[in-house]
Amino acid sequence: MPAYSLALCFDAPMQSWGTRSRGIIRDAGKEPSKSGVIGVLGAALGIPRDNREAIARLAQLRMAVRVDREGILERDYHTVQNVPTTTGTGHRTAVSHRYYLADALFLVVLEGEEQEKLDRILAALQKPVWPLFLGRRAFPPARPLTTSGQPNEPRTGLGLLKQPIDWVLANHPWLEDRAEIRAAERQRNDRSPLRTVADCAPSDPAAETRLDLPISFAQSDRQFSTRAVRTGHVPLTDHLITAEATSCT
Amino acid sequence: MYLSKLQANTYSREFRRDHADIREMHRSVMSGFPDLPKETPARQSQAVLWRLDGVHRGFVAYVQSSSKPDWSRLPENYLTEAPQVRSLQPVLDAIAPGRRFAFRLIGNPTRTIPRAGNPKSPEPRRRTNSQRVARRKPEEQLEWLIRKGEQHGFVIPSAHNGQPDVSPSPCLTFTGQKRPNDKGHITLEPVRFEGHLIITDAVAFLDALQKGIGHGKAYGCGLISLAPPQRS
Repeated sequence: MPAYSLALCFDAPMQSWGTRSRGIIRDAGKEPSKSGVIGVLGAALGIPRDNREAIARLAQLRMAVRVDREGILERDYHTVQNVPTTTGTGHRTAVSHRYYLADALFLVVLEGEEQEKLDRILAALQKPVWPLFLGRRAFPPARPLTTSGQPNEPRTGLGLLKQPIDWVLANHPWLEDRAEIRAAERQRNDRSPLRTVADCAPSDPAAETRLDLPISFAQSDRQFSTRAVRTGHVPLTDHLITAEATSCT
Repeated sequence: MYLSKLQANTYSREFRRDHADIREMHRSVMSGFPDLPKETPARQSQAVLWRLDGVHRGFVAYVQSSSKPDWSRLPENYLTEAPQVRSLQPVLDAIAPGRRFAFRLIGNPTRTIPRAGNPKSPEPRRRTNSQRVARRKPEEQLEWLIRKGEQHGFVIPSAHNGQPDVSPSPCLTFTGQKRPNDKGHITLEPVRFEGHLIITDAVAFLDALQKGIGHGKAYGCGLISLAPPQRS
């Protein structure tokens, strides 16, 4: 079976991809979680939070993330009013700590065997049913997730590619858009590689588990299961830096 | 003893990598010191301690060591200013019983509990049957600091309100990625202590100043910075 990949650009001043939060400390991981990415696709497609079948179909896609720019973890706090007390007899004001990644940039790749399914997702991301945001409602994307094929548009994800996930991680143009950083990297010969985190088989010896495979996003009944990932690196080659973003096939 | 001040470039890709992975940060700090034979514990032999402070714009790393570091091996563009290295001798000379200092410390307050057994997965035999967990309550964190003071020759004076003259504030959790041959991920929940201390035992305190206090010294914890006391 041929493999198709959907390459997306996740760029925003602030992103938050928590996987362990319960209660008033809202954590943030260092790369997008699967539940977060499936949530973005679900918003684009207009899938209700409690539609378990549709969520399960999306979650079947294999996912990988390439960290094109590490974010800086920051913390903010919010006050929440009218939080019920544990005795159930009143309400109080609570302070919650909310972690987020500042200035992070990711290449998110989803792989599947059905071209039509990925095509439908791509079309939805370009014309989403509900607004897209990267982890929290207040964190909208800074550039389109995928290219529209117009000339002279900003660097972004190439969209649908007829290649498997590993090829895309190693060959997709680097999404970094700061000219001075690109120029500095081009002149170096001891470049640091780009970190990757990809879904893998649970039997893989390097597998780690993450509790972020979504089952239901229903407000009062969120459920997640575990998935196995492996971390790796791809070299930042001249080709990745100089390759211009070309429109998808 | 030497103290280096390194003004990090937040746009540097290598600094971003280090900020996201405490193991990489440790490696970058140790690049300022000569390579030693594998058996020698590199950090201890140079008495290296470091701390990363978030400042108004960006980050400053302070690195303390017994030998003079050479920061030329740091990646290109890692710093925005030339490193400043100076001798700590004036500070060491000022250590005397009864002296009062303002201090700053990122400590790693932990306590040891028996390792929770998981009956489902038979774990490989461990060296010890206990594990360290972070102390999360401010009063427990203060208790940790006061106990460290008893061990290392200092006390925390009382402030006007009768409480210890120090404020513990939580830091962001430090994490380190597991690599082949490593035992596992690193997770630290350090605490930043800022306040005043009074030295009771100069010998013990000097030793703590040079070797650091608490666990996690390779990962940015345990360095005590001293300054003249704040007038109140």
